[in-house]
Amino acid sequence: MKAVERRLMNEVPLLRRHLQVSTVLALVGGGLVVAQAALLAKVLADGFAGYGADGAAVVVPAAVMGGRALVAWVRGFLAQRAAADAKRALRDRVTAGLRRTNPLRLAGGRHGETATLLTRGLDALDPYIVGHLPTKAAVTVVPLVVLGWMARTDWASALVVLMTLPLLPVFGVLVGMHTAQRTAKQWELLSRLGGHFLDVVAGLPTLRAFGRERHQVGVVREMAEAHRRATVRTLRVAFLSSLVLETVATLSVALVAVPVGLRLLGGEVELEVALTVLFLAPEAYLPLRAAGAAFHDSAEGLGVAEKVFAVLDGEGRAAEGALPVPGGGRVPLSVDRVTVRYPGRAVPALEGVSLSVRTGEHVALVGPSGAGKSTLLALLLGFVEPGEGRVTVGGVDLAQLDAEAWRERVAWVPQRPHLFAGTVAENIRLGRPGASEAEVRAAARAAPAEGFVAELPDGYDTALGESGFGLSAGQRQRIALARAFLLDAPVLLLDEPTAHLDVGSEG
Amino acid sequence: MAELMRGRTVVVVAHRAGVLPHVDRVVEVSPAQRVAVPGWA
Repeated sequence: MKAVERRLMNEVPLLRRHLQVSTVLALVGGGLVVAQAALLAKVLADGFAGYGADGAAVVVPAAVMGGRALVAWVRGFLAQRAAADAKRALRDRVTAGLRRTNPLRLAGGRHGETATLLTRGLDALDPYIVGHLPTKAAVTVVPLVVLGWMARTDWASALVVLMTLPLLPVFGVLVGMHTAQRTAKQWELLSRLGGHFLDVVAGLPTLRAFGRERHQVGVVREMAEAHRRATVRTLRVAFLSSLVLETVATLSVALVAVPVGLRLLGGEVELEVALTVLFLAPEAYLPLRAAGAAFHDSAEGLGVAEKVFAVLDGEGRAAEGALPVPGGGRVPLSVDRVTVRYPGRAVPALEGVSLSVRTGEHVALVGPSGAGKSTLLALLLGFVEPGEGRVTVGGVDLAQLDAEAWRERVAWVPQRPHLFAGTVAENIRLGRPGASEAEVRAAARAAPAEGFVAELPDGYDTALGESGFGLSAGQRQRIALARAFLLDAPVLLLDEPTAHLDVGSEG
Repeated sequence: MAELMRGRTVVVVAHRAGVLPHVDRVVEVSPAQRVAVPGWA
């Protein structure tokens, strides 16, 4: 088992149970395969010998066949359910991981790749869970059961099967190693395509303004073409692999069948034994052939699992303390000789900075762009951890506070606030989901956003597109101010709230 | 804006001093030393 598979089993324990259940079902299935072969061989041999077949001779093989079909159905049903449960568990884990990730780092991340991973990406695990794992269970059990019965029936044929069985995994591994590289390349191209497409859509107004949208259409077309070529290359290898495995399996069955046929003609074996061997021989190779096909289908899923673990292991987890916020947040704030260095930046964003804010005091931070003003706000929010020094809230280190409880006491209006697809009222109500209509209106009045909201087609019920599409930058900022007002938090952090507001609204 | 800030501890980043009349104190963040120094009230 590969390291990524072991990790997958540990992260999603239900997969281990799925493998165990699949093994039990494979054992039952293997027993039914042997029973079916033995019963059919007896019925046919008796028929050739001129013995009349009684009712039981027909009913019992039919019941065994029905049992095989039932086992196959149960196996498929449980596998589909395990796949759905496993994907949901991983989506929950990734989403929870992203929630814990430092918001500033998250904002700078590759959203397209993450979105692809959480949607289409995780679906690639289906072939691994539905196909590969049950087949893997069958590979470990069915050939042994079949081989055991063959050895009991005709040891010479069993010996031939025993010697030819390893050929399939050997050829499978040789081709599989090649496929793994191809699949990794294919996934990388798909992720890049998804990320780039999302960037292009988000930046379409800017691209149109500069007349570059046609160029981007060409870029997306080139990337899609590269992905198509990679997919075809992967499929070509997968089909070649199937051809190799099928050929080896067919030749192996022939190596068993031809000697048995000759021995039957020479009178060395009975018809019932020969028929049992002929029925069982293909069944011994079947799980290995299926495993070969499932391996190629599952390779993409394992590549996706590695990406999921990379997200889960990602750096930038915000420190999480457990202490309650002193004084409910109505306490002095202090930044004490703090130095902040962003990864990959030679110059620190802040170096030895100290700042004290008394309870209820209104402090403005001014300075040119890049001076570190927004980083100071990020420090107070707990989005950035100081490399040196400390940030305290009422004398308690911010890193030791319950981060979620602290942020409930901080109303933050970023420079470019994000509005979600929903109505104006819903966007304001994000500050306090239970707020009444009157409270929403009061917050809008304080922002002040009431004037332009009244002019919107449906007032507070006007639906906004993603990122507040339909509103100007200043209007979006006022919605965000109303949101902050509604939160009614004791600490208010504003990042250039006047950047998009006209002078009349600053009073 | 004044109503929004009333009774709260407020830290506001401003692109230029003087645009917000409701602040008690202005702190200048210097890009050269990246050290906040007390400004004017």
